[in-house]
Amino acid sequence: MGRLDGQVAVITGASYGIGRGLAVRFAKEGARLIVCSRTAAKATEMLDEVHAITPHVHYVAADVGVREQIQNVVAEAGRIYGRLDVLINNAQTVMPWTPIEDKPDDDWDQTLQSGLYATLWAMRAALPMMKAQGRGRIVNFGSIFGINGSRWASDYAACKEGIRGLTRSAANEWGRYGITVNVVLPSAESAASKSFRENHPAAYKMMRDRVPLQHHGDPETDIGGAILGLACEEGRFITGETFFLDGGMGISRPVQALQPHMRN
Amino acid sequence: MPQLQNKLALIVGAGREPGRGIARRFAREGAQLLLIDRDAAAGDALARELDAPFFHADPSDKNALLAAITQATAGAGRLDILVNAAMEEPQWTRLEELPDSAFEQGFAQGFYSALWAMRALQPLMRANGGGRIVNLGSVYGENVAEYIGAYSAAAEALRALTRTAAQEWGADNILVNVLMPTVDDERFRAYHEQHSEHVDTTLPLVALQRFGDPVEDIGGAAVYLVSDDSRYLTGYTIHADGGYHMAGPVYVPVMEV
Repeated sequence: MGRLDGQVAVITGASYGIGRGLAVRFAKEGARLIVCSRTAAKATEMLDEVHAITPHVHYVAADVGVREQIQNVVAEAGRIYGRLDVLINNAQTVMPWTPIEDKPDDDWDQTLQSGLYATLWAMRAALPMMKAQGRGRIVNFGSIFGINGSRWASDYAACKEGIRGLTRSAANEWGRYGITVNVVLPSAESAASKSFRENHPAAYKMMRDRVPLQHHGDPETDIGGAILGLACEEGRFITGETFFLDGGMGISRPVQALQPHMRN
Repeated sequence: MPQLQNKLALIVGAGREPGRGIARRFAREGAQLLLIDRDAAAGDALARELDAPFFHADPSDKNALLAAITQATAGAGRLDILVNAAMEEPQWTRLEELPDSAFEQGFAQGFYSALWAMRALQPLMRANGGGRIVNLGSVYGENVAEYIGAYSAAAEALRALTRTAAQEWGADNILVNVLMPTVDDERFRAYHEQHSEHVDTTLPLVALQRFGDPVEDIGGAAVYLVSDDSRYLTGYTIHADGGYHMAGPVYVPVMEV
């Protein structure tokens, strides 16, 4: 018996990384899924993995940064399963690192459309179903780069903090419908973290050793578990909260009294 | 499906909410419990209800607390979960009149009891491959601290202690977090009765428009923080408050929808 038996979840950006880990974890817990990503060809591995667990998965190729497309993704939950319990807004286009003074407006547009606006559009599309059910769980994605600010990724940082503001506003407005809205800031193993580790091994080790749990998050267990708990009854009184799913990395600052001999 | 099957949990301050609600929820989730409280009658009653051993001690008395912890954990030789919920109702006094003794008492209950318990049990958790520690914080420490200066200072000191322990003990897989609840308990209901106009006006500003049921709401969040779900979460504060932490006394139109 799964902890999400009977529930329907929409997961955006599900082809790889955290989105894929979530799709697999939710499938294992009995959820029925609507998953989307921009490029169908990149979704086949994820879909094979999920299909091996459950037949109840429906894939939509969609650019979440286009209003009609993300609205359609969410509407599929109603059309196919007749309900929507959990909405996970994970998709986000990431533009190249660029100083603020050089970052083109088009980068800002793409970042905000695929992150902030996509999250807003998906939430508004989900509201009528969740409101009618008297219950809903929405999980949005922020970032430590937003919390701390970020060098060379001002668009991303602003977008992610915009999503946090939207999250808390929706939590305030929709709490009376039994809908909780939270934001997670995950730190997961990814292509980017692997490339950083390979190109800057010393810096990587120094940073990783500052993380209390000393490893990057696994999408299915570490990140997926925390989001699963929010979707279950345990999370029913938690709303508007920011979850640092980063093994404690977020309590660290780069220049601290390093005392390696004290560690054991 | 029980989330805490075969887990052994010690709850310091189990005699009243929110410790009692957390204990009841943990029991429902299959955990084995060890209970400590300063109130013998309340502790005995809960022990009978949950069929769990109770050890009578005032958590603000270091020797008494450590003796109770030693006694409670002697047989098992392990501990998976520690919940520190020993903070008592504060004294309401203006800061300039609040005696040093109130700070000493507030810190002994709300800060030192947790420190003593954490340090006493860390070796056991470390030897067994890790553990979970949940420290109960206070929304009055984080936000409004009118006339309860000692209580709120102790509650916020506990958050700094939580981060230190998370950082130092993370390598041993001991995860330490703060749970910050708003509890629909006897104290809240009494306050509501006395100040109904105030509560009835302000409670709708909270997203979920209520304080939390000790078992279903606060207990549920506590289960989340000690179960496998939150295995990658350490050093943080999680609000089990229905959105109280983001409800400000701001001038917004009340929209009738």
